[in-house]
Amino acid sequence: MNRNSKIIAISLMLGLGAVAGCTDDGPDISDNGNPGPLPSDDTAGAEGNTFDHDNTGISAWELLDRLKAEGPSTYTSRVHSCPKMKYLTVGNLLASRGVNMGATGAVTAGQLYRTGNNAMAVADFTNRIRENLTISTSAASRQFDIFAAAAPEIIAAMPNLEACKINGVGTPMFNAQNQCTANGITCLTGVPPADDTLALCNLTVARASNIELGKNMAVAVVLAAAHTCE
Amino acid sequence: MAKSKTTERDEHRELTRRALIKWSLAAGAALGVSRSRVAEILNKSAGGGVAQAATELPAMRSVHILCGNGGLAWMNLLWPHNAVAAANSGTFSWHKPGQSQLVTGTKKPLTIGPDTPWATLAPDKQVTAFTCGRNNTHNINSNGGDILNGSTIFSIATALQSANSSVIRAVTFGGTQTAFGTATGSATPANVNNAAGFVGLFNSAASRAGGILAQSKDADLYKAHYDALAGLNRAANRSTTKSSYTTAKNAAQFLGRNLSAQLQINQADRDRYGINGGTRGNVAALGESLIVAVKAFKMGLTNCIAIPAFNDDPHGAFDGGDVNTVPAMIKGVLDGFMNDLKNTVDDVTGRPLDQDTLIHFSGDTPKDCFNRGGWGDGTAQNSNWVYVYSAGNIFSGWFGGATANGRVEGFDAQGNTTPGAYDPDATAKLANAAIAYAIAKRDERAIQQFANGTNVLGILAPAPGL
Repeated sequence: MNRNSKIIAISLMLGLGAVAGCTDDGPDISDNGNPGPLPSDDTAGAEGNTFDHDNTGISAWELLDRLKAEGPSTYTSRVHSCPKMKYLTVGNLLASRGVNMGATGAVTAGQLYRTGNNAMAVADFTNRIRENLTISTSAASRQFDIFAAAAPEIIAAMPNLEACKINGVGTPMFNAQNQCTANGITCLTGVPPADDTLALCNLTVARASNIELGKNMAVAVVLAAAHTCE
Repeated sequence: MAKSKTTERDEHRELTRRALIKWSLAAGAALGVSRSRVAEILNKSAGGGVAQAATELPAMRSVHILCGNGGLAWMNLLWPHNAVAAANSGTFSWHKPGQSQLVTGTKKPLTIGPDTPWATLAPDKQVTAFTCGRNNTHNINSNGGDILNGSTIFSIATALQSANSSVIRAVTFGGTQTAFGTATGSATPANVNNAAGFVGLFNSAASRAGGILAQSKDADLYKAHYDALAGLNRAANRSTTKSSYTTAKNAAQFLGRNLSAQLQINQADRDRYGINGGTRGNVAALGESLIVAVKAFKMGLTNCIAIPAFNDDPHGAFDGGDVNTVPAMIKGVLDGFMNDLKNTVDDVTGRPLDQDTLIHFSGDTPKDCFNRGGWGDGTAQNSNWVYVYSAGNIFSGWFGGATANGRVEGFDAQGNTTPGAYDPDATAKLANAAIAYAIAKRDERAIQQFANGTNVLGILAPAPGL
């Protein structure tokens, strides 16, 4: 046995002795001398002899995976935030896609937009309060409501929108088979759609109560998902 | 009777977080399981947030009734100054001389009369009246008695209530948002014109008849496809965006849920509040706002509501005889409100709403309480006062008050009357610190960033657990 082996052997003996000392010779403070089974996921010990730690919190491995996927928090906090889309931006977007922002009908997008400034937490200059940057339920639901009301106008206007023409040719939102067009979704979101996005758009049309309603819903939901964040 | 589409839709969506809590509590009650045990089970099965929501609201909800343009004077007739009522005077500004009685058991003296609402409440639950702040005549909103170290009590309330979950943190009616102010952590209120406007907040165009989400099937489809499309964004599950997307997903669900049916005011509601064709318009408007407030609180839609009231500058109330009719109408509305609060159980906490709701009356001027002729706007020493129902979280009765010799007295940091002296700012600071303390459910530490060392515990309000 070389010198290192002797050190390891002595260490093991001391360790086992210590464990034996803990289990055999220590004071028994549990009920009737029966310590009972240890709780799963908990630090060694029981409620009777130590603080019952809860070890079901964050997993170090999950945290490691997250850091690996996202990068360190100092980086992700700058590049992956999701602030509320500004009130004016929502208006500009809709106007650029053919929505009449001056409409006065009770359930028109223009009217919902103009009367939705409070729900969408716009700046309150009187009280020196800036526009809210974070997404709230009331703001998001009002924004989505506006998108839903705007859908028919957008569908009707899209073929004539200069911003969405390709080589001077207008882009319809739906083809003759009532399916979403990739260019139409690009017109709504600003980026070419992934295959899954296109498929979901088509599914929305097909699964709704009727085709016309499905087309409106498809536009509304694509807009909502694409413009949740600024 | 066939169920409406709205009813079917709402029933279809009962498996929500609130429904989970609601049914857990109901099942617990049926099985004889304690609330704490139910919370423990929810903590393990649905998470700490759900369990916390199932136990108790961290802060009281609040209803702030801003009786502007002299409207606060009506409150004088409901809860008169002790000395004014005791004088049995035919010239002082109380309309029922000789019919007053002191409430037994309140911490400070409190006089009630035939038109006093909530007269049957336990002594510790009776109103608190603080003689505080300045007269600010002919101002719709502002009251010098609403300020605590530079912030309004309304904004402080929303900051303290931020731990309570809600859909919209604060709602103001009819322009009261201009009085709302800001405090660290406070909410920007959503303003509506009236009770109907409040219902409209929860009445999305998409979910109405003819809207694309009018049918529950379509609303579910919208929500599911929103979730799927949002999930395609590779950044949607990042820790820094998850919170926003969670909120947006809730909004996508909220969009398809029309709560107007649950919030709508019906004739039975008006009957409970004594509102009929003969009710004065401004009293009926207050009543309808309070009806909607109870319904919203029950569903946890908001924590704070500010309502303008009366705004009628009633100089001629005594001379013209309005004091013989209007106070009884107001009493009917406020009694209806309290009964609704007592008889309505919060869907989540399972507690009656009256235990978790603070009601606060303030205004620009309570008018002259010593001379009913012409009921002038001026008050002795330019004083003002506020009334608070705090569910027992502030000592009941009058702090400071009018004296029989036509003056008012304030109160000091020990809660004692200051004979012959009235400090509008010091009294306002103490009063609003006490209101904040009540909203924070006696958590003195929570209010210190606003109270800044003002101590109310044991002086103006009971200690925790008492």
